[in-house]
Amino acid sequence: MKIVGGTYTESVVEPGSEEIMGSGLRAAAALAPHLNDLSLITAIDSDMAEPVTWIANALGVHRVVLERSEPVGFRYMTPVSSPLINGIGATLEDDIIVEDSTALLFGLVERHLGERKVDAPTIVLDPQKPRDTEQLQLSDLTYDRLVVVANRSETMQLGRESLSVSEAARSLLYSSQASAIVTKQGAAGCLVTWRDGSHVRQETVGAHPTRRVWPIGSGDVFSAGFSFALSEGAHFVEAARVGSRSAAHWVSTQQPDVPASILRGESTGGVLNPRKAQVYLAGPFFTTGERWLIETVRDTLNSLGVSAWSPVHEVGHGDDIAEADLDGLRNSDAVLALLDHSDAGTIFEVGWAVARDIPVVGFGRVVEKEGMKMLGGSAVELHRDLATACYRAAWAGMGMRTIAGWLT
Amino acid sequence: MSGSDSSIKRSPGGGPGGPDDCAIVFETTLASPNPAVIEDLGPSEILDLASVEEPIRGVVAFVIGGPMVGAITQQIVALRRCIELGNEYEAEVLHREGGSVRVQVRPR
Repeated sequence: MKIVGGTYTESVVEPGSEEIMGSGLRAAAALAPHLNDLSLITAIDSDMAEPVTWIANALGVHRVVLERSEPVGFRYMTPVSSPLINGIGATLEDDIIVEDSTALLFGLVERHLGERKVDAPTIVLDPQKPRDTEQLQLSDLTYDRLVVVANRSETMQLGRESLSVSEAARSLLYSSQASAIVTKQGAAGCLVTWRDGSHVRQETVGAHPTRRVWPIGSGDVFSAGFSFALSEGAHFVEAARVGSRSAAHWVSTQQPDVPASILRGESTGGVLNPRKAQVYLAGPFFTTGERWLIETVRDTLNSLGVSAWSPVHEVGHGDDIAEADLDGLRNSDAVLALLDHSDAGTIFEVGWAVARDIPVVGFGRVVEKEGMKMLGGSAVELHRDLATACYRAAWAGMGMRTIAGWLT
Repeated sequence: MSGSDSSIKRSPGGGPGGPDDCAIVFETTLASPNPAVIEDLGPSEILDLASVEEPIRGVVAFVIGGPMVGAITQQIVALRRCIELGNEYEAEVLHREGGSVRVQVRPR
C-alpha cells in the first residue's frame, strides 16, 4: 500500500499538546506494524528533517520524503476548535508518482506544482478540503475502483446543492464516478453509499462511544483502517466498520498503531446507531469567555450529528426567558452543561433535567468540589475534558447510557 | 485532519511557539509498546526516559534498570535538546487500556 499525505506540526492550546504528525504520517503509523510493504510519500521542510526521522523510526514508518518550501502547522485552541493553518502558501515541486495495489491519498495543505500520477486498482481519496472545495482532481488517477472518504461538510460541498447528506453522497457518487462514497459524521458514525449493479445503496455504520475522546486525527485513522480492510478484500460496509473501530481506538487511547485484532475485523461491541437528537446547551453566556465557549460547543454539537439547542441563540437575553428556556429543555434528548464557576441558572437546569430523567453530561475545570457531589453522586456524568464532554453529550442524546461521576 | 466537521481558518506565517526551557510536562501514549513488558507494568509506575541511537534513534521509555517499554513521539525536539543539556526525565504510568500505555512525562 502507498499513502500520500501530509506531515505537519499540530499544536493544541488547551489541553497543551504539540507534536509532529499530519494525516499522512498518522495513517501510516496506524498501519505500519501490519504491512511490510507500506510506504508513505510525504513532504517536509528542512527544519523538520531530523525530528521526522526520529518519529518515523519510532513509529516504524517507511517513507519517501519530498521537499516543501516552508513549514506547515495546525494550531487548535481546543481539540474541537477549527484550526489555524500556518504555512498555507507552502508549495511542493517534486513529482508524486505512485504505483501499487492500493493507494490512500490525502489532500495536502501544500500546493502541488509538480506532476501527480497514481496508478492503483484501488484508490481511496480523502480530500481534506472542508472550505474552498474545488472539484475533485481525478484526471491523474488510474484505478479500477475509487472510494471517496469525506466528512459531512466536504460531502455537502462536493455534492452541490443537495438538501441532505444522503442526497449529497449520491450526487457525489455520480459526479465522481466513484464506486463508493464514505461520509464520516463524527459522533453519528458514517454513511456508506455504493453502487450495486444499476442500483445505489446506502447504509449507516454506527460510532463506538468511548469514555474519553481525542478527536484530532480520528478521520485519518478511520481512512487508514478502512483502506486496510478494503485492501484485504472487505466489502465497503465491512471496511467502514473496521475504519470506525480503528477511529474509536485512536480517540480513546491516542495509540499510534491500530491493534491487529481491529484490522482483522474483530468486533469490539458497543456500536451506537445514530438517530436525530436535540442536546440542550446549558451554560452562562455573560462574559466574552463564556460566550466564546457557548459558540464553540454549539458548533461542535451541530457538527457531531445532533442539533444543539442553545438558549442564547433560540431565546436570547431578557427578563422573561425562563419558560421558553425550559420548553427547549423539556424537548431535548440530553443536556450538555458548562459548569465552570457554577452558574446558578445552569445548576438549576441540571437539577430540572435530572428530575425528569433527561441525561446530563457536565463539563467543568473550575468547579466547587463540594457542590459537584450532588451532581456526580446522582446522575450527572462529569468531565474536565471539553472534547470528551461534547461527544458524550451527543451520544447521550442518541441513547447512550451515561455514567455518573467524574470520567475525565 | 478531517474527522471533526469544522471549517479551516487561515493565518499568515509563524508557527506554534512556547517557552524555551526544559520544564517539559505533558501526557502522551507510548508508540510501539512492547506487549510483554507492558503486561507487568504497575499503576503509577515510574519509567526512565533516555535519548538513544539503537534500536531506534529517538527518546524511549524504560522500566528502571529494565527493558524498553515504548517510544515517545511528542515534543521530541525539545526533549532531545534538553536531555543533551543534561536534564533528566521520567514517565509515570497513568493508565493502561488494552495494549496502550498512557504516561505523564516530566523532569526528574
